[in-house]
Amino acid sequence: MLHRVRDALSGDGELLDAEELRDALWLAARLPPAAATTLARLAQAAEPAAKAASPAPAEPATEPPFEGRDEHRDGTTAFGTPPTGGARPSQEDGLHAAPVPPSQAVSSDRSAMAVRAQGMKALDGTELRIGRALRPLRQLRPDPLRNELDVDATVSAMAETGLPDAVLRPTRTRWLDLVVLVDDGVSMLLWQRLAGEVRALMERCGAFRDVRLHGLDSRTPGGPRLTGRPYGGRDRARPMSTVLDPSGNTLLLVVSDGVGRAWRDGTMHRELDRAASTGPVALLHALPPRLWAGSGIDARPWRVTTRRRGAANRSWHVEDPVLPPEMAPYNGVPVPVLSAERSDIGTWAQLIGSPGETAVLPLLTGPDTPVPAVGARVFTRPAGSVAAEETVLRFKTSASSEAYRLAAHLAAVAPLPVPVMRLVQHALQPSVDTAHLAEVFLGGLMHGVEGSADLPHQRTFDFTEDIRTVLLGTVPPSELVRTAREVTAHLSGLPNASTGFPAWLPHSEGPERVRSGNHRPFGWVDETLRRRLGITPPEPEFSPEPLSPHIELRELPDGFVLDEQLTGWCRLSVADRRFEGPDGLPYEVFAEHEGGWADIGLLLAHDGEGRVLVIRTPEVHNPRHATDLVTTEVTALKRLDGFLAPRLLAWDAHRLRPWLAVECALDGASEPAPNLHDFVGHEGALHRAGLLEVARQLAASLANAHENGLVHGSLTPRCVLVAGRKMQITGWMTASVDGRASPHLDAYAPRPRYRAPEQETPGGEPTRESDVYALGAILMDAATGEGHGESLSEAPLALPAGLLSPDWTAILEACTRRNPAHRPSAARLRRALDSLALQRPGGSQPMQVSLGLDAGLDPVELDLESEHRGGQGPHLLLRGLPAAIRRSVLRRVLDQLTQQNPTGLELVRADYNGRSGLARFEDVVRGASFLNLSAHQAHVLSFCEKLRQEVTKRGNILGRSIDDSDFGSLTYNGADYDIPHRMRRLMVVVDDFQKVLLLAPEVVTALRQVAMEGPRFGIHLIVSTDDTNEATIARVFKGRKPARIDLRGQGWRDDDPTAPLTAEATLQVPSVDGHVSFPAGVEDTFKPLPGN
Amino acid sequence: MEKDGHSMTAHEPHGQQDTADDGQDADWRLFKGDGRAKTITFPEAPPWRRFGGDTDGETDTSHRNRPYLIGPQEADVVNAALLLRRPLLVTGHPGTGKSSLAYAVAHELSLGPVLHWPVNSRTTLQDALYRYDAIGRLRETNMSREPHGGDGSTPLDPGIGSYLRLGPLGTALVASESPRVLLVDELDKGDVDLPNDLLNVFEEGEFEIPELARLPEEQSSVRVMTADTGKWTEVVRGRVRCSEFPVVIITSNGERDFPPAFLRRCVRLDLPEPDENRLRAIISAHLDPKDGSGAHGTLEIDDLMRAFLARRARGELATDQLLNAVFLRRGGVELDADGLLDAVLHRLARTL
Repeated sequence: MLHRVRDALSGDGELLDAEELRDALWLAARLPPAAATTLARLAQAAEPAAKAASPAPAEPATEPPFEGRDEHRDGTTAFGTPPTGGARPSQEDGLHAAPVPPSQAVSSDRSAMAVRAQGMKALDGTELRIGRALRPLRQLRPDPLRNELDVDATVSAMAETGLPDAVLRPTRTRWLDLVVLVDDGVSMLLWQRLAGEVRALMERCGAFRDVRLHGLDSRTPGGPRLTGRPYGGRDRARPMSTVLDPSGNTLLLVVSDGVGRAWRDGTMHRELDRAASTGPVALLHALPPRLWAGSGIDARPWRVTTRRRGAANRSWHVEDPVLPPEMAPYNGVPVPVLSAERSDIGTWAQLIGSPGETAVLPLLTGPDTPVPAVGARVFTRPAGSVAAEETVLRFKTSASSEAYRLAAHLAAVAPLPVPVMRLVQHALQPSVDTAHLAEVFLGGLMHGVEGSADLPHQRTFDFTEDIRTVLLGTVPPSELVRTAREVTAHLSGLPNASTGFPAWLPHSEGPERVRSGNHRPFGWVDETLRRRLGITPPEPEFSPEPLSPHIELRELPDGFVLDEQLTGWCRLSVADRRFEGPDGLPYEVFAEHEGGWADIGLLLAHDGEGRVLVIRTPEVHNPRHATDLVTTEVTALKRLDGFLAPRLLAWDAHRLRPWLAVECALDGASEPAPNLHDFVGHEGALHRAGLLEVARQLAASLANAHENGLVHGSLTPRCVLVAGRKMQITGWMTASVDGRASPHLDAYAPRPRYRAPEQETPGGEPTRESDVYALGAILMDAATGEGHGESLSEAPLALPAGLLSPDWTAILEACTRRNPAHRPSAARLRRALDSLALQRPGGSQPMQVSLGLDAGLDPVELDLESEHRGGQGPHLLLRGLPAAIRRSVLRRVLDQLTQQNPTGLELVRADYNGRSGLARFEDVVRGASFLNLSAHQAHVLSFCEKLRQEVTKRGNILGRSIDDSDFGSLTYNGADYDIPHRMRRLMVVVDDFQKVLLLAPEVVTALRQVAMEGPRFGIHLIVSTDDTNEATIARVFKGRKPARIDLRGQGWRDDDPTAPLTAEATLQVPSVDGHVSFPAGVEDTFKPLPGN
Repeated sequence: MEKDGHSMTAHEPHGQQDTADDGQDADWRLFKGDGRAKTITFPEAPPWRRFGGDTDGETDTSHRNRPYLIGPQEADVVNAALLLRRPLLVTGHPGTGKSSLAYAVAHELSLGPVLHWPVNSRTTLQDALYRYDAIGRLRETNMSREPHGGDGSTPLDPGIGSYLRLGPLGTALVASESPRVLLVDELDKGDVDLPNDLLNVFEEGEFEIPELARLPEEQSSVRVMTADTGKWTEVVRGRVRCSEFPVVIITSNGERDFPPAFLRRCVRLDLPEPDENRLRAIISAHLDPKDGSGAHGTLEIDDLMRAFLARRARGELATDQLLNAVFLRRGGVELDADGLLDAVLHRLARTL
């Protein structure tokens, strides 16, 4: 009982602890019942769907006082829970990030008013820690100018001498002054908040007598200059020497991100060196440590010893933490590089504040070879000739995939200022952090909008339309909506701090305008947030009409939201007792669906433990029919076992009113999943990636059903549920089980649009082919967005030309052929869709080689594409004697590969004694050669190093991705955008494999790494060897068995040495049992081998 | 306009042409920059800039007794804090009336004058509890030792209590039958450890004065000065303990986060930005005379209101800037809305 009270009082936040519970109960006991009426009125003003009406009468009374309390617990107020689902917020409630400039306003824009939305702090959570870390700097020194009375000395002097004698001592004042130089280039706008908070922190920690702020201009060609105020006007620039204090009492702190030109060409380092000789200097790097290597400020740890408190950096004694100073002398700029994320600030503060200490700090390293400054190129409007796709692809290959995803989210709400960028990034946590935001910001996709504002944190950035279109195509709209909800939830929890920024809310009396349509809002406001922002809602708060006789509705389970208008579910009232009683259902039913099949009741219920179920119960008159329907569906669902179908939880078929319960498919975490028809109606026609995913899953589901002996028979878009990324096919009540059609099919036949032509004829039973036809029709409707009107039932199914790629058109057309025998089966359909998803577009297969003809004169072919992409490779092992034949086969394979794909291949060749004949491939394709390794032992290590480098490089390019990108998909995307990608396939060819293996132990490791990562990175390992045992092969190839070509049965012609050698070769691929034999010999059609 | 004895007719038309002559203008343009000395009567100050002078507290028309408007939800949070006897942490944008809330509570509940404790980075908890003037006491004792007047009477020993003065926090913790209101202003400007020290005091509700605790038993009860002017109280054995926990209102600009232990012990109130209706109510409460005369229509301030709302978010303006603008407009300043606002509504936002 107490638990329930505690849960009720906790609301949406964490559970109350003992003290808070005590306080809550105290309040609850003291508030009079009359207090509930005002609050109840307010409760109706909030959305009823979003709040679970609790039966406890004292509970509503305690809600509003806890509006204040709940905020500090974890930021969600019990009242104004933001619409986390359920009601899709109207257009009136969206917060837009920037208004439309009056010169570009069009009539479709809506008028809007500016409000001050809360932003996030940059030093979120670390502020206290940094404040404490700066404590060692809080020291006092005697002030030479003022004296004060030393009370204790005076009192003791007086006690001893009896004379009133005052003893003075110099006043203790703060020890250091602080000068902060803030780099105020365009790229530092992202960190402006951070600089402000650092400055506030420094002021507040009480360690500094005086804090002065200057702007640092690191982009002018003549070296760094200082301005009076950062981000201020362009007042007269001064050299850096103006802030140097010869008395050594000034601490110089530079805040920058290293993008400016002065950091790259060494002028800033020289200035810092000069500053380091006068007093303590430190550098606060705004970027996260992960990105330091690419910026102009990089650091390496050194061990630093100070001899004096607050000594100038030049006086430090610096040595390498590990090596002795003779081996690694230090001659760099002794300025520590600190980061707000690590604990270096504390170490540094302690070092400065102590009279003599040693610590390890990262110190600034000198500038490398000057790279063209990123900052100069970025933020200018890209020239029109550079295609948007190329820019995006360049960004995608160089940045991480999380940054790419973040860029897509930012593009949806652009134009936007920096605080909104931070809110969107925070909403995508934990996979996306500020480092990714920095990557997007510096990545060249955005440009600043001129004249947007004077204040730096209100300056907006935007994408060009083409780039925005490309980026928006990669992320589904439901994910954007989800992110906006996260932002809204976070916004309502942020305190009204000083981190505000202007946002625009549509309002009828607003003076400015926002663009609607493609430019989405980044968050929504609800009642509470509206009040907080000070906007009167358009309609009066307390509606004057009396409350209608208010039907009390059944409560929803926790966290569940239901939007009645949109999804067609209708909440039951408490008075409805149809499903209770001894004849009723063992669950608590709370909603009913109005649509669906006639006579089949579709109900939503929950089992009291938080699980939501969908219950289907036929309400036909004939109980036998009802039992039939239920048993059919139960059988079907049992066989499908939840694979892309609803998971069966319980049923009862032998009662007056049989029913069955399945797990409710949820969209997100809390709403019932929409069906495909509604989904397309809402979100629009599916784009290509979504369509492919839907088609693959549906084909897989159908194939699974057909394998289990089920035929659906009445497949329509309303039968398909879209639960997040997974589909489910429902509506199996009239399925045909094991070939027996359901007798009730006619009563529930689908619309003619989805009925195969052969079913129209009398006696036509549903077959697998008719299911495939229905699937094709569904996909066509999803791709075109049609099928929503009644009048389309007569129109023939046709795809508008050019809507989809030819492969798609072919697939869909094949599914909807009139002759059922010509339609593909579901399994074939699935394979075709899988290959469409994974394979590159049609064309020749450059990895296929022909090895010869077998006994039946059929060509023997080997496809060296990776196995997971439908090939037989990626690795190949050639084994056997005589070596000449073997090497000839190897050369034949390589010749074909290099001729078919001259530019997309890279070749690394290695052999033992130089006799493999691989030298002829020297200039054919790019690559490296490590021939004759037995003579050059050092080359073995270079060979291993080269392999390792390649693996690492490819690993970096592909990155950690969320959607398993590998070499093949990169190729596919490259072909998609019609741009040759930069990664080539790598063939690593090793002849006399077993001898090379013995040359150095690193060879095994390197080759094994290549073998393991081969499929993913597009590396193929081709080895050739006289003989070797299986153990060695297993050691190198580990799990990835290679395709093998074994030579056996060599025919020595002792008596005729001039006859050409022949041998019998067998090809064995790991995925297929058995082998194929073909004759092999030394080919003499190639050029003679040099020196062999 | 005054004419002095010598009619310098030659000058006056010249003088008149220089100044834009307008009966109303002469009222508000006190300073003309023409170098002529004159006596003027100052027009009445805005109500929020009036100070009491030497008047008594009850009939004080000073700026502290201005009307305060608060919404019902916020008032409920205040009531919850009052019922729970927990400190109230008030956050909000500048100008939303965080500090005025304490004065409003004290005025409405008749809890006496507010104890005001402004916090900065040099503030220590000790100073807010009490101050001990050792040197003053030493001086007094030394002077009283010397015979003066020659009357031979034993000079009175002022006693340690005259040199001990309780600070605002100390006075709030003095036992009394109704709790005092303590306003801790801008706690986020203080030291990093100050909230934790405060927490200790709030949990215990008492503190000790060592200078009094070490006195012998016959001097156990000492009269000390409090933060209220002219009021004294008794301290027994150097321990001050409250019988009613004071109403503590802590304001913060939100620039710094507090430790979570502190936040858990407070009731948090976030004052929202006033919307248009509230702004009108505030203006009428502050500026319309109480007798209901002068039906200053709202039309004249409509354009000011619109311009203010349009600029509020971008320029981060505060409510009292709007009050200043309305006051100027009613005082006869003939500027249009934008010009007036430019003069008065300077941007509050800092770049860094």
